[in-house]
Amino acid sequence: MAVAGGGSRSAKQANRLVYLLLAYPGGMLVVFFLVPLIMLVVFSVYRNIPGGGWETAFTWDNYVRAFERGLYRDRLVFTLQLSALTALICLAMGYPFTYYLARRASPLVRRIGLAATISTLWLTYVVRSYAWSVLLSSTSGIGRLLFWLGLTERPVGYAPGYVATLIGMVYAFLPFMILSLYGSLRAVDPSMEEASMNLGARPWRTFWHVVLPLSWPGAASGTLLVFLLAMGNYVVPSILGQPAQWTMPVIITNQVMYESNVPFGAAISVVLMAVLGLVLFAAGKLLGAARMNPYPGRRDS
Amino acid sequence: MSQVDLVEVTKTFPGGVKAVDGVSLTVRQGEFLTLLGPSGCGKTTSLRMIAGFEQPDAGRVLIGGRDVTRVPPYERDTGMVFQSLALFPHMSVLDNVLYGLRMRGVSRTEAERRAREMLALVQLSGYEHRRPHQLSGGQRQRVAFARALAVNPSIFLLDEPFAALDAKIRDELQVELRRLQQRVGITTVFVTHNQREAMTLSDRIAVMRDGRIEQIGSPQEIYEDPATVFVAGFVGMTNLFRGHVVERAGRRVRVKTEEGFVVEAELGAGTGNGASKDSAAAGDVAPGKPVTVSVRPESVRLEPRDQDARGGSPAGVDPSGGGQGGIPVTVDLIRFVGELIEYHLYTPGGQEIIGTYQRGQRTLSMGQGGAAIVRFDPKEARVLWR
Repeated sequence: MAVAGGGSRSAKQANRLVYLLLAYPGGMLVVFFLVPLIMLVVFSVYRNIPGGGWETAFTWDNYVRAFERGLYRDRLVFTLQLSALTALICLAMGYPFTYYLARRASPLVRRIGLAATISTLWLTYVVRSYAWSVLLSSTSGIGRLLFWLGLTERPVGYAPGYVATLIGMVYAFLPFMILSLYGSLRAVDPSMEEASMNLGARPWRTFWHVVLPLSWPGAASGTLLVFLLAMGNYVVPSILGQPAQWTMPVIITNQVMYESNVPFGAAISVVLMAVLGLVLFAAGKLLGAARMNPYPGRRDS
Repeated sequence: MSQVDLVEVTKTFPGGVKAVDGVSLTVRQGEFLTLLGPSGCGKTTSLRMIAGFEQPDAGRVLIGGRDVTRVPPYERDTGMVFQSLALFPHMSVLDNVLYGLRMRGVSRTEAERRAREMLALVQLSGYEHRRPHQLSGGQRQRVAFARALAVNPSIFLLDEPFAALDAKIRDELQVELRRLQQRVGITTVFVTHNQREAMTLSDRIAVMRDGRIEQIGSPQEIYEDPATVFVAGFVGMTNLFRGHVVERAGRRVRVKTEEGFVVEAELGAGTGNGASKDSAAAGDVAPGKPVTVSVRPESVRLEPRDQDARGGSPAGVDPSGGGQGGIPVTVDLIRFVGELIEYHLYTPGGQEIIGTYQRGQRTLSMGQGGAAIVRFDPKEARVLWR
């Protein structure tokens, strides 16, 4: 009896401990995710008072405006295009580099490469974007270098503009692509390549049939990650872009900070989130198989 | 089907570790040869040099008489089973087996017919569309066999393929591997550190140590006539007595052990025949030379000893010689190991001797703590270079 009683008491204590432990992530979710999200949705149906503030209301006006004005639709499409292009360029640039780093380089080179990749994240991309705006201006840096090399007739300034925005974006998010690829490329067991070659496949076919498919989950998640980061970034386009390169986050910031139109800012935020949700859902469907088996190179027991 | 020759092959890894040190070896056509040795002995490196994954620093690798030392792995025509199996996880069982055939440009229909035939041979018909992670360990093993053999390679290479399996499945697969190998009739090189596995599977075993081949021979030769103390200790259990040669008559040698007991043993056929320079050249065994006597546990014969006859001193033993005096021991432990009864014995000097009897072969009256004398037939004891 005494033993059984003791057992149930300790079981009850364990139960309480589980709740306590769950309270932490649960609380975090509520405070940092659920509450702000609800506030955002609630604000998006309030009515803006021109000249300052807002009033409690339930109106679709903000959404109607977001969809009626071609400007916002254009900005949304532009943002999606810019982000997708950024993600694809990061993948195209990041894959060969990371492949070399993860599978071909010596341990020393690998360490240096990773350190260099991560070190670019030490500076905030506000500073890095300003650095690019100097480098890409007509009076200094790359424009003058191309002119000096005789590749252009006169020094060309790229910043502010589309090229500068794209370069800034790629530069800002390439490290995330590399780190995402690195894990999945390292996880491909070297004996997979050896098995492929043993079966008669030359290095290129081995890469195509074995390494590439096995690193696909990392490539997909890296592309998705960069896409999402680019969609949410407002610093790079506002520093390196002209108004024609402003993305949705810049528009939202302008509405809230300079127009003081919080309800409309909230409404286009909700629209942006909904679109991203759809994109993620579609990507999830496409990558379903990859998600099920994130690191297929590892032996399961 | 071809023979494999390693000619004076040496491989040093960055950092100066000599993994393989001047190994010469011929794997005969259709033979099942095992490279056996502890980890770091160079057996896997030797196998990888045959497959083409490592390049020797010196020496040559020949497959079917053709020098393939500088030929890349994808042109060597070997079929390898990896320790991790390395099945492609993103492909079905069928696609795994098809892979090599497709890489060799075999048409889809012909390749599929051949792949299904191989899967039937390893009893995996009906599993074509499973993924490797949906199979049991033993099934995955068989897929790896099928994949390696589907391309009809001239050499079959296996790198500790059973290491990750439990004992029962391992036994079944060993039988299956041997049957498969004999049916296909393929020259096979098998790497393992498990001496039991080597004994049960191989036509011949090459025992390796520190990048060299210590001895090469049939399992029976290796077991009965080990060339060196290392081989005697690594392949099967043995009792080793260090001592000096007292007298020699032909193959028969009389040795005085370090504890002062005199025992008789014979020079084996393997003594002096080993590839290693450590093995005793028979002609060098002469009085005064330091040697080691190896006696297998099943050759140990126990006789009761009357402990009280001379006030507790070893009875019936003449430490000064007399040859057949035997070694006095105390029974420390008796274990029943399946069909064997295992006696753990101690000499007065504290050396452990292990003797085994078949169950029912003979009953001994003494129990634990009893006194006994160990004798053995000199024909079953081997003199080895220390």
